[in-house]
Amino acid sequence: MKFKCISFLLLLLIFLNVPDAFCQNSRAEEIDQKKAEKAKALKHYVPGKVETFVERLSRPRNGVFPVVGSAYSGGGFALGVGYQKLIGDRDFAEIHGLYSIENYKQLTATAAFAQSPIGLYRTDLLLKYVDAGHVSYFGIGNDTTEEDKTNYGFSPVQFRATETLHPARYIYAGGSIEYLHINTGAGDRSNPPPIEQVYNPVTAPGIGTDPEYVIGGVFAAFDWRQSPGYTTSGGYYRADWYNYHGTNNDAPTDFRRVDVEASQYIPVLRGNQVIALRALASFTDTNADEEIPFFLLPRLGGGEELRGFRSQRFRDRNRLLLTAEYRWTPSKFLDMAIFYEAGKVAAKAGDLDFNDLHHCWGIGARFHAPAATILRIELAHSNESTRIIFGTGLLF
Amino acid sequence: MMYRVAIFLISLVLFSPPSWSAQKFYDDDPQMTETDPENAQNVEGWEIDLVYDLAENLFTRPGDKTPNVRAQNVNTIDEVPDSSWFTNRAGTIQITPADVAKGPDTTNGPSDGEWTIIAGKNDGVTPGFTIEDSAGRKWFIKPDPPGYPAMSTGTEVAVTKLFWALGYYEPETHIATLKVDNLRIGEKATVKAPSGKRRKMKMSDVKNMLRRAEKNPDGTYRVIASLALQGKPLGGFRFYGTRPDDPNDIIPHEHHRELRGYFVFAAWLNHVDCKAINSLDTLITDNGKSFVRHNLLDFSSALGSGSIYAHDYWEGYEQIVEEKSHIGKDAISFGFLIEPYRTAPFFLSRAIGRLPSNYQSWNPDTWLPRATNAAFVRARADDKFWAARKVMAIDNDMIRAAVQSGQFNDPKSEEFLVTALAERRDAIGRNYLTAINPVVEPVLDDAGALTFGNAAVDAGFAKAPQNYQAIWYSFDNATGQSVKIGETSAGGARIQAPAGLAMDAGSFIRIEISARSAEYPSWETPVQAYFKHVENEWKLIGFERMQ
Repeated sequence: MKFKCISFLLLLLIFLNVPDAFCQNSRAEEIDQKKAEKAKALKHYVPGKVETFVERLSRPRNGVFPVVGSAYSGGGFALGVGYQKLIGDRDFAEIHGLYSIENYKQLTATAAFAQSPIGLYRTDLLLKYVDAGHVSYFGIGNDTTEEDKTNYGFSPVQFRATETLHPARYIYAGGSIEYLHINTGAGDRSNPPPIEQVYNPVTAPGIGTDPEYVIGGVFAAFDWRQSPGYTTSGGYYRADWYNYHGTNNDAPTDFRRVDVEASQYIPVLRGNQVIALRALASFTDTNADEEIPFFLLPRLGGGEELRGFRSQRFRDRNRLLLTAEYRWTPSKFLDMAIFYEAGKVAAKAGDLDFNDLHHCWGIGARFHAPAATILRIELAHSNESTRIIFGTGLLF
Repeated sequence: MMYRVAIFLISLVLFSPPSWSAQKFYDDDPQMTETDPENAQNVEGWEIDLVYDLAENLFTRPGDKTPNVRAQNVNTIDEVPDSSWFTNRAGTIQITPADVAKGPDTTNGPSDGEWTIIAGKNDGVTPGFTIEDSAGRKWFIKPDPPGYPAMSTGTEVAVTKLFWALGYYEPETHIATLKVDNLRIGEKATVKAPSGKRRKMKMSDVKNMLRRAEKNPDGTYRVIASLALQGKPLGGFRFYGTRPDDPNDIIPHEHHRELRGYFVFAAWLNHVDCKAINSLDTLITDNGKSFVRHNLLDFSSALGSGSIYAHDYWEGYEQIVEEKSHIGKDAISFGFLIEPYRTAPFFLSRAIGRLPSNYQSWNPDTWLPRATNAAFVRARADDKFWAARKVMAIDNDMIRAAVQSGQFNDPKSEEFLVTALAERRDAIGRNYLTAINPVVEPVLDDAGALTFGNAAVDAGFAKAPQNYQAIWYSFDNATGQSVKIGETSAGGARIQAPAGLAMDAGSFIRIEISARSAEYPSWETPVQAYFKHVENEWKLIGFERMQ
């Protein structure tokens, strides 16, 4: 009996303690044993929360998204929310709202549909409402001063359909039809004074009116940039023609507007630096002795044109803007730039010469993806002001 | 009597196991093959998210946090056994240029006649689809981008052949001709629209896809045809951790030598797109038992090809996101901090794309993929040494055979590629074979003569050292203890053992071999060679280049 107990104890000890030793009589057995151990505790891969979140972000989908941008020129930084609905292969509809630190509001609905799978054509619809309570007005002409500043309320509603054709590489052309209704009124700020306290229908044509227009337009462009959203080489040349046809008593005047733009990007050292040049000119004309409402005149000043000056600082029948930027590329996602701009407005197109140009300069950083500019942060300076600019999208 | 025997056995069991399990070498060492004994039938496929994978590798350091870990899947002589990950070819077995030209191919490509499209392409930027040929085989089809006839397809074929020669599992790839008139859309073929929705495929989808492809003058398209890999696709493998549902996957991938060494091979071939989704695990079942095979694929962003464009200048010099310190310095430099690729000479052609043309001072350690991975960042000098020996085993004729298999149809470009790959190979050898003690393949004969090679000297990258030293130890395999026997040295790669070398059957000796070189002080760090006396001869049973 005693011997049986000892034998049992021996077998137990061997069973409990020795297997490792036995299983490691060869390297192959040692490795196989580790695999057998893992086989006892298999589990399927479960993505972590961060991975799941990133995966959801990176796939196209319907749903709500945040919006950062500008509600209207001069309204400052705006935040909002949007909703996108994908339709079919590549069409979509989107609606978003923005609210700015200057209490400006914007509601925009867009849709792109009937798109060619290879980009030969596309149709875009836009419905947009803006409520800007105190837009700056400094009077008309190139010689206005900051002391002339007033404010007015501006609230347009527009509905536009645009057809864009892309018949050949680099070439774009198209047309648009738009309904535009504008409500104007006194500004909601007392300082600077509301517009009606300083200006009248002669010095501010269209003051206090609520005009309606149907606008027909055509455009043509030659675009050999790397992409419309970001580029370090190529060029972009575009001309737009619009006919504004007044359709209510507040818009008795028809007028026409032409915008021409030429941008050139010259890479240096394989894009380490880029010289970016832009010339932009706008021209309007009316029938004899008729006026264009001041809020539809070509203008300069603000975050996109003549950036060292306040928003909508200069207005007149015609404008000229020249921009030169020296850009460098610390990263594939960050460009830096030093820029210089000169521009003027004039009553006559023939006066758009290089005399009496307004100048500004500045420095900026642009965060971008390979084909899209996401955020511009710029410091711009002129003889009137120094401004910090936050913008989205490619300036030019 | 029985009682005493039992007491003795109990004592033996209680006190002996530690010494048994501590032994360094087993009789079956070194293992030259690692098998997959466990049935992996329950492994599930996964889809690696590209954005997450890139972000994780660019901004974090996934995997084992322990620094300077030796590769864990090497055998006792510091080599990678054949496994479901890797098969030793170049540098281990005799392969010829004809072998390289053939690579993994087992057929002549898709058969002529009708091709039935059975699926659209779901990932990547290159247009493509999956077909079934008239012989019933499944092929993945991708064309060349507009303006670059042969660039993407030729690169895919040539680089596949070279990675096969280096030892990886690869899909069979061929250059083929696509005739639109021979295409038919299969009943179940679907395509993922840009909106992300999946729907039935139409012929207009194919034609639209082919608008982004280079068209031959006769209206056909040159395409790459990759034969579907054997087994059930499971998605790519990550370069860290293990697949938790694969019982045979026990070593963290970041500690696989062939995945660390993949950095060197990628640098050689300028394969910048070596991300996880360019790999594919497949579940292979044979006689009711399954295992996972690990394949590398999609080499169209290698050499001078960026797949849908010629490589940009920065490819191979920078990752897609630069170092933070570099960005900061460059931001305040006003553009006058000039990266080397801004001024380096490049070769550019429509046949092969864009590739640097001067390798006089090229250092492969400065090469970078678009996004690194957990295995690459853990590659040590011994991993790179191992990989460099593989690369050096690919001679110029093999390179030429691989390049010719790409059918670039441009003799000047092909000649440039052959020269560039030979020069990049030599730069890899020059850098990695000299970086650490390059003693290789030690042999100890019965007369006590130790002979070995010097990989750096033998390849012509270094002058022979002033002398070699060997410190000899008897080695107790059970305890791991060494007892010094003596030191000997010689001016060449043959050193005589000191007197008193035990020649008993089963006895072990350990030899520390170092070299004294004014040019390479790192060679003084010895390699460890272990020999076991079996069947009247010394057998190399262990080798360690770095601890």
